[in-house]
Amino acid sequence: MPPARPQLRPPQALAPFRVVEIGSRVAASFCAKFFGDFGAQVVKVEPRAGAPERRMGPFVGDDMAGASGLHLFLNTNKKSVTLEPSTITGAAMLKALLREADLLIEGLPPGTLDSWGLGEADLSRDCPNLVVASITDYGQTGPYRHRKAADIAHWAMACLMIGSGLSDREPLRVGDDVSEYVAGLNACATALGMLFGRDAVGGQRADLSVLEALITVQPSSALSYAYNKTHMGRAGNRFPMNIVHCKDGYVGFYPQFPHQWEMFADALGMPQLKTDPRFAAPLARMEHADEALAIILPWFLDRTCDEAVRIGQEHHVPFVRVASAKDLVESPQYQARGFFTDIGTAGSGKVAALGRPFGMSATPWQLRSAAPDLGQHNIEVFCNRLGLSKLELGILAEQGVI
Amino acid sequence: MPLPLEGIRVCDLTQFWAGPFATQYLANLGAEVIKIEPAGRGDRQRTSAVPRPNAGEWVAIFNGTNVNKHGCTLDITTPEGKALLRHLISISDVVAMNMSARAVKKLGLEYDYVRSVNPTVVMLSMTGFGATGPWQEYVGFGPQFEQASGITYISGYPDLEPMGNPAMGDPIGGTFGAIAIMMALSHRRRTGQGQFIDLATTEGMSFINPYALLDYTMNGRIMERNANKHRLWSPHGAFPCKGHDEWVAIAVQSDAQFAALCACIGRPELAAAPRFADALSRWENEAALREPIAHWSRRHTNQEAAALLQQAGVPSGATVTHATVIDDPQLKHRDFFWWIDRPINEGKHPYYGFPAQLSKTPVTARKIPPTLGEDNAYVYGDLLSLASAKMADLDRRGVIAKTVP
Repeated sequence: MPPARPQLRPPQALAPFRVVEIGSRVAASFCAKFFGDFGAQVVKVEPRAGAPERRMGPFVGDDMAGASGLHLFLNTNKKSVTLEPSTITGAAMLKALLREADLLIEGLPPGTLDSWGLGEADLSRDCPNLVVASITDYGQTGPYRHRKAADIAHWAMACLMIGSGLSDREPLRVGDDVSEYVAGLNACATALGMLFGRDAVGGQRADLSVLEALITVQPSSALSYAYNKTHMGRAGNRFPMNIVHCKDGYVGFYPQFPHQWEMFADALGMPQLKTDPRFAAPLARMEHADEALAIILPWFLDRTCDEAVRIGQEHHVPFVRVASAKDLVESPQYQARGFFTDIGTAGSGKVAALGRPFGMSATPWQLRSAAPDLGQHNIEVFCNRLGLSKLELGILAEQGVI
Repeated sequence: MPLPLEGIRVCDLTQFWAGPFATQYLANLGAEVIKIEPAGRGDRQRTSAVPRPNAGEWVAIFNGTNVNKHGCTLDITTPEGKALLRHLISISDVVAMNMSARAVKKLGLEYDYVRSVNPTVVMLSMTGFGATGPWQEYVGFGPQFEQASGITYISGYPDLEPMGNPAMGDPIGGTFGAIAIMMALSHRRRTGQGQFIDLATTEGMSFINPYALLDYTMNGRIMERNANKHRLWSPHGAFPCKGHDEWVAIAVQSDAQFAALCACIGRPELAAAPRFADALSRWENEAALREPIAHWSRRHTNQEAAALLQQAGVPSGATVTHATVIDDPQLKHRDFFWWIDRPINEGKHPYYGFPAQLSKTPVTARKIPPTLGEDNAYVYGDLLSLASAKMADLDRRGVIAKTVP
């Protein structure tokens, strides 16, 4: 018997799927990244000017001649082709790609696919098994469908902003383009579901709204308001959910549930916090927050972040360092888990970024290929897959189609 | 038409918010989720209620995150309870947990055990920092996952301590969980192979904050908090409007949008002023734009301001509150809210719906969130085939009791 062929790589969960990504915005690219990273063949269809993340940076030394970091991160394990589907030939080529695809991820403005003759009715007729995940700011229908959006506008409209920051100051958005990533995650989850159920119902389309996806990342607050009719206001780091100064940075803590307050008092070596009537019940603790903080703050100021976190966690109370990018790269936990990985090169050096989003024991994350150059796979995809000749490709390039 | 995950059964041991968010995703897409709450006490999230009669049934996070699930009570610390759990695991496709590593060990629910009961199971372990590494036993809630991820550090006013969003770590972690489970189910259907998912919510949160991390690994630069100032665009921020605590958020991304903004606020000359004429000048002199815009915005309600700006083609949005969001015309048009009548809560209330409309298998509220132990008869009688006398006995002795005996 011949020796078993060595398995060079473990299997990948999404290996059989063929995915087309078009209309790149962060949400669409992020969604498609999960498919590429877990084994699907993803063809990223870019305009001739390239997808926007190629210009978003960061760039090594701020030099835009190098590769953009967001492009390297968002487009791992994808193939890139250039194509302008607003041309008749371009639309036909896109349709040919979709005929052999399982999933289309698109972040185009509402109505764009229709204008190319690739609307819902066209696709369900010509590509009945194609699953489509459409990402727009407000959805394909409704009075706001053509409104102009931005992350900060979504924060305002999703009720997140009015509660972030302090009541006597400008309300805040948090993070950096969170709405795009949240929408990408939701599109990915929905697409995976639709693919799983495809045997029974065939292809279908999900019309995802970035605004709605962002609304769901808060604790059922509209329901809470309906129950209690109270506005929480903007109270910053509301005690007992606090961020406090240590010797060398900030630590966040949150003894949220009744049993944790006692553990918190033990961690700080302050048993009086358990018996003091001002702090006996959760609501009382919030009312007397300033008095509680006056007692507690010196303990943190006397310690480094690492010391405070270690003591808190030894008592099983949620204490963490408010981590900067540098803290994360140096984090013993992230280092032990190999969270940062070289994902590509920019300028003269390798670029370390986040590799796997989660661990899968049988079908782990793999970097098969770094983010592609613009149009790097035109020949492979258009000639080898669609059967065009290189001569034809040359004509299409000259005509502005690819 | 069958929902996408119809036929998939999930044995759901998660509590609080992150884990239940992951399993609600599966339930919304059609899986049968059996939510197991500790007997006599319920999901710890139920203890976060404002005091009132039946307080544990009035917890918005709990109700909002357990739609479309079955709920049962079970004491898995007793041998009889563990045996029932074993039976449930054996008839499930997915087992989901978000206990700390310490609790998993104490209960003997490590993957090796779960796999010995059901070799093809997909098991989700959802923890704050992961199932390996020196911090594997560290505990946290949504705010801590965000604080530890790098997001909070870049958020807040520059003159004060960092200020994040109190809770988004949980639902975002939960969405990662749903993604990982569906990937594993897809592999399992093709190969028959189950697996273990090691999801660290903090890593998930870092994953949605790549720019700041890349700027450090590529340039050694640490991004700091700077209120609403954007790294590229200006003006960018929230501007006060006529009503009490009403604001309009504005993000100008191009010269054309800036010219439109200036015209809209009645100050067309600003667009031509050298200190605002291009993106770089605007970014440097953004503070000087604040008052001219605010002077205009204070004369309008925030909805008026947003509508006028949108007519002019400026990306903008009005702040809404938890009271007013249900009246948003766009959300109403899309029936985003699920108005669910849960008898114990007396009347219809607005639940967040699903953020995508599916053309063939719409996601709807098929089942109202369970009261404590509401589906015990279904789970123990119909699924596990216990006789009713046996169920009554287990209930009396506290093993599946809703209240402490």
